[in-house]
Amino acid sequence: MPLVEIEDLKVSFSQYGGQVDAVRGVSFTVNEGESLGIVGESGSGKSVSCSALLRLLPATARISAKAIRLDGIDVLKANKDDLVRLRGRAAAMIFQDPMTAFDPVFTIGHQIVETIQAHRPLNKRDALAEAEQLLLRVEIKNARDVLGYYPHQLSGGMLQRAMIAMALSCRPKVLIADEPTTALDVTIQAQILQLIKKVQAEFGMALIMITHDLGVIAETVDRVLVMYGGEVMEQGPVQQIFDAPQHDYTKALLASLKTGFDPSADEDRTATPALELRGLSKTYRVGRRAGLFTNHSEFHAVRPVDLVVPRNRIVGLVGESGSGKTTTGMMAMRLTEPSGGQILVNGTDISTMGPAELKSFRRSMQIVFQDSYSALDPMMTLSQIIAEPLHIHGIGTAREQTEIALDWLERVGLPRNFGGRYAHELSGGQRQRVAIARALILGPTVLVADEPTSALDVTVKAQIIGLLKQLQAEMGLSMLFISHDLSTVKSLTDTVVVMYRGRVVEQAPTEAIFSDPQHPYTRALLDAIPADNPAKRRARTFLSADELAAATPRYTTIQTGLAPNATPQLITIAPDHRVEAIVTT
Amino acid sequence: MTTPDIAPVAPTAPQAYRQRSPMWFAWQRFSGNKAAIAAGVVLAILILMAIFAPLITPVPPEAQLFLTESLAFPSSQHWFGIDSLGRDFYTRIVYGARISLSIGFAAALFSVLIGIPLGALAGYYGGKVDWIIMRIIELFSVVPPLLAAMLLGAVTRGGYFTIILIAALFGWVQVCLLVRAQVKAFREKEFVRAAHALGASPWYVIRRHLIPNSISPIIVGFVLAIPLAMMLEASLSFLGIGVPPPTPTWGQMINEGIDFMFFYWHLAVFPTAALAITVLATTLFGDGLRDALDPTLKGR
Amino acid sequence: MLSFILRRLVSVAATFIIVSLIIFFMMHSIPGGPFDANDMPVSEAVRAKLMANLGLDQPLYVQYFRYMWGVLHFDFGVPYQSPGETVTQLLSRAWVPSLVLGGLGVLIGAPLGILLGMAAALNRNSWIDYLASTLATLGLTIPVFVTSMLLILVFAVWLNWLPASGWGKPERWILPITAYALIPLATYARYTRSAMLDTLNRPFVTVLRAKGLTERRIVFQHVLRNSAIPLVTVFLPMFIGTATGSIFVEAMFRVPGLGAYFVSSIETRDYPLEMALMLMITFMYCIAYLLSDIVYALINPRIRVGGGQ
Repeated sequence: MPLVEIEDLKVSFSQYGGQVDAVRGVSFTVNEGESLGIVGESGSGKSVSCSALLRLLPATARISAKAIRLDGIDVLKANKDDLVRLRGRAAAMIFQDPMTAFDPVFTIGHQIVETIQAHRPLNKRDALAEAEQLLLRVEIKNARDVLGYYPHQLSGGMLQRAMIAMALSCRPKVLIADEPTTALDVTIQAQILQLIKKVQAEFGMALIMITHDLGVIAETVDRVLVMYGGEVMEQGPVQQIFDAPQHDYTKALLASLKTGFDPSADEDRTATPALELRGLSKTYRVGRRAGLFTNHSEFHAVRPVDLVVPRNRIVGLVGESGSGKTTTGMMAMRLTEPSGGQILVNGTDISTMGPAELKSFRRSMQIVFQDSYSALDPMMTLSQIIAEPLHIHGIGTAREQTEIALDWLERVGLPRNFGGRYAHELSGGQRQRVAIARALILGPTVLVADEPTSALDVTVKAQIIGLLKQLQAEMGLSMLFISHDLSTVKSLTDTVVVMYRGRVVEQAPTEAIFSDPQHPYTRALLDAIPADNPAKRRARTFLSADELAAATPRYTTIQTGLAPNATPQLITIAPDHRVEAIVTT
Repeated sequence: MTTPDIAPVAPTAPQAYRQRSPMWFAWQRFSGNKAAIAAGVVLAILILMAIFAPLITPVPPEAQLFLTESLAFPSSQHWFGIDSLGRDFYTRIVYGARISLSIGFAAALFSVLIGIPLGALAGYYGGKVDWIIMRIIELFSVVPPLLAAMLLGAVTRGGYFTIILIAALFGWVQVCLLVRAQVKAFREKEFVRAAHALGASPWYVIRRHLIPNSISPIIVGFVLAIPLAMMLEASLSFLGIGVPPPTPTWGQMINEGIDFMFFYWHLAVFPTAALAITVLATTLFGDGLRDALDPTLKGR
Repeated sequence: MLSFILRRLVSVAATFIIVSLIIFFMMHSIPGGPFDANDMPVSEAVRAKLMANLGLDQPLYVQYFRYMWGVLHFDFGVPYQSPGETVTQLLSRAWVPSLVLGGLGVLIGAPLGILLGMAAALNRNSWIDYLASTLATLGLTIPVFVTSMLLILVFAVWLNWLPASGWGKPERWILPITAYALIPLATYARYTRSAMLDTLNRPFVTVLRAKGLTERRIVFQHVLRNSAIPLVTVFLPMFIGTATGSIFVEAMFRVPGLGAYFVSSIETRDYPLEMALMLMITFMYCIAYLLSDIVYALINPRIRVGGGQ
C-alpha cells in the first residue's frame, strides 16, 4: 500500500460572490522512500493539495475526496489522536518563509524540544540533547548556541536548516517541502536542496517537493506531477518529463528554462556611454545604543563602484541580497543619495544636480521595479498611471496624454480597453507591463530594471524578458538589469557585473562570465544554478565566506604591471574582463 | 496625436466588463455589515432631527411655558414629560442633539484639519520632523484628555466654541497617527519612487499619490473623532463646565436628572438614552466604515 | 536592557517636567484668583497680605520652583477649601475609596475582559463572540456616567436591590465597582480578541499544527504569549480610562474619593489641591507608561535580546 494516497481531491474556498475551486480532482500516490515533485505556478493548487493531506487548511475550505490516506490513516476521518500521529510523525512539513515559520517569542531549542516531546516520551534533558544532535545533522556547526537563540537572531538559511531539523525530530515517513528555497538566495538554495536530499537518504523518508521552479525539480526528485489551475496536467518519471513532455503547459514551462544567448546590436565603442558610474559609494551611519548615548559606526553598503553601460547595450548587475546591487541601481537613478562618486548620464554628471536641473535629465533615465503589486497606484486607472510621466513633464493636453498612454498599452501587449481598469484587476505580469510602459513613455535612453521578473511565475517571466529585449532593440535603450539570478541574466545581457558584499568582484562579457569565471564567488554563484535537466544533477561543495576570501585570485606584478598590494583590487585580465584579485610580487 | 481608426471603437464597444474601482469593493464590504448600516440609518435620522428641530418640536427649547406642569411625566402632549423649570423635555432632547452633533462634527473637522498636515509631514519627511511631532503626541498620550479638558474648561469657563477647540485639541492625535502611518507605508511604495524617478516634486507626490491613498484613514479618523468629541462635550457639560445653561445639552440634563431620578425617572432616562444611542450609532458606523475602507485595520 | 530602561526613564522624566510646567502655568493663567473681589470682599491691604503669605505675589517661575521644591518634600500646600489640614493629609484620606473601588474594578474587569476576548477569538461568530463585541463597543463608547446612571436606575431605583450612593458598607461598593469594571473589561475584551485573531492568522501557527502539537498547547502557550505583547500597549489607555472614570463614578455615586475632590477643586478654584491632583495623576500616568514600556520589552525577545542578522 502506498504511503500517501490521494484520489479525486477537490478543495474549494468560499469568497465574495461564490466559490473558488482551488483543487479540482487531483489524484496521486507516494510510496515509501520515493520522492515526488509537484510543480506549478502560484494558484495551481499544489500547496493546497498537500495542506489537505495534513488537514492544515482553514475552516473556510471545503474538502472532498474519494480517498486521502496517509500511512494507513483516513485523513478526512482522523480524530484528535490520529491527527497528532499524522502531523509530525507520519509526515513533517517545511515551509517557504523560514522567517515567519518560527514562533518569535520562544528559542529554537524550545521549539524543537516541544516537537520531540509531543511525539516521544523523552524528558527535557534528553530532548535537548537530541535537538542538538539534529542541528548538527543539518550542518549547523554551533548547534549548542543556536539552541538558545531566538528566531530573529538567525539568518534565513540557518532558520531553514533549523526548520529541517525540527521536521526530522520525529522521524517522519514523508517530508513535505513547500517551496523551501523560494525565499532564499541562490547559493543558500543550492545548499538547502542538497541538505534535503542528504537527510532524505539518511532517514529513508519519502519526499514531496512543492515548487514553481523546474530547476529545483531537476535537482531533487524521481517523479513529477505538473499542476495547472487546480488540475494535474501530466505526471511521470522526472527524466521523461524533461525529455519528452506530453502536455503543452509542460512544454511551455521547459521552454522558459532553456535560454539562449543573444547579444544586442553592435555597439559603437567610441560613443559616450549612456550611463557611467565613477567611484559611486554609499555609507550608512549605524547607531548602536550604549547606555544613554549612541555610538555611531559606518556601514559600507556599497564601496566605490565603477561601472559603464554603453549605448544600446544591456549590462547585468548580479549579486545576492545585501550585495549592494539595488543600492547601486537606486543611486544611479538618484533615488538614493550617494555618499561619494559621480553619475554620468550621456556624459553629464548628475550626481550634484538640484531637483529642478535634474528633472529634465529624468526624461532620459527611467526605472522598473521588482514588486509589481506596489509599483502601481491602486487609486489610479491604467491610462492615468501610464500617462503620469507626460503629466509631470507637462507634455501635451490631457486628451493627447491619454491617447499616447493607450498606444503604449498596446505596445506592451495589453488591449486598449484596459485603460480604464485599476491595478488590482491585473495579473502580476500585466502589472509589470504597465510599469514598463510608464517607464518608457518619455523615450529614455537609460533604463534601470531592478529585478523586474523575480516576483513572476516562470512562463510570465520569459514573456517579460522577451518584451524588455524587444523594446530595448526597438528604442536603442541602454539597460542596467539588476538580478539575483544568473540564469535570467544569461539570456538577456551583453555584460555581467558581479557584486559581493558591496564590492564589484568581477565584470566581463556575458559569455566570458559563464565560460571562464575567475573570481571564486562568481564560480560559487554559477555552481549554485540548479540543473536544467535531471541528467545533470551533481553533488556540490560549498565555500564559506572565509574560504571565498582565501580563494581570491592572485596575480604577480609582472602579469599586471601593478605594485604589489595585499588589499584585493580590480585588475584587467582580458579585454573587458576585470576581476578582483591580490597583486603579489 | 490622433488615431482615427481606433477612436470609434472604444465608446461603441459593449460593456462586457464591469468597472470595479477600489471604492466599489469598500461599498461591497460595508453593505454586508448589518450593524453599520443600521447605525448609519439611526445617525441619519438623528442628523435630520437636529437640522429640522424647529419643525418637529412644538415649542422653543428654552421657553418655560409649562411651569404649572413642572416635572410632569410623559404624556401624549409632552412625549418626554416636562422638566423642573417647566420646559417641554422632548423639545430639549431634540435640541440637545443639535449641540451634541454639531460639536461632534465641528470638532472632528478641526481634528482632521490639524491632523492631516501634521501626519503627512511626519510620515513623508520622517527624521527630525517626525521626531518632534511624535514627542508632542507622546505628551498628549501621558496627559489624560478628559482631565486636561476639564482644566482647560475651568480656565476658559466653557462655552460652545471653546468646547469645539478643546475637543479638536485632543482629537487630532488619532487622525495624525492614522495619516502618518498610511503616508509612511505608501512613501516606500514603488509607485511613489517611480514618481520621484520621473522628477515629481514632493508636493506633487503628496497631492497626487499620498493624499488620495490616505482618504480611507482620513474618513475613518473623521468619523471616529465625532463620538469622542460628543463624549467630551457631554462629560464637561455633566460637570458643569461645558456649554452653559439654558442651552439644552444632554450632559447637563443627565446631571440634573441625578437629583430627580428616584421620583421623576424620565428626567434621567431620556437624556441618558439619547446620548448612549447617538454615541453608539456614530461609533458603529465609524467601525463599519473602517472595516470596509481598510480591511487590514480591522478590530484595532 | 538596563540601558533601555535608563533611556525610557530619562524620556518619561522629561515628559513629566514638561507636563508639570504646562499645568502650572495654565493653572496660574486662570482669570481670577481665590481672593477676587466678587468672591471675598476684603480690603486691598488684606488681600495683598494674603497674597504675600501664600507667595502669590512672586514671579511665576519663582512660584514654580518653590512649588516643585515643596513637592519633593511631599508639601503640596494647604487646600483653600479646608484650611485645617494640608493637601497631603486630605489626599491620603481621599486615596482610600478611589483605590479600593477603582482597584477592585480593574482586578475584576481586566481578567474577565481577557477571558471574554479569548473566548470570542477562539469561537469566532458564536454567541460569545457577539457578546464580547457588543460589551466592548458599549463599554468603550458610552461615557461612564451614562452606564453609572443606567446601573442606578435599574438596580437602585426600579429593582431597589442595592443602595445608590455613598461609601462605607461593602454593599454600597457593588454598583460603583461594576461601573469601574466595565472600562477594563471592554478594553481588554476588544484588544485580546483582535490580538489573538492576529496571532492565529500568522504562519507559525500553521507550522505548530503541522508539528502535531495539540490545539490546547498551541493556544495556551504560543498564541497567548504572542498576543500578550500587543496587549501590554493597551495598559496605559485602560489605566487612563479607569482613572478618569473615577471622576464620574464618584460624582454619580457620591463617593468622597480623589475624583470627587478633583471636581470640587475645579469648582472652587482650589489651586493647591487642583495642582497636587493633576501632578499626582500625571506622575501615575508616567509610571504606568514606563512600566508598560518595560514589560513590553521584557516579553518581546526582539527588544530584550536585541541583535539579529
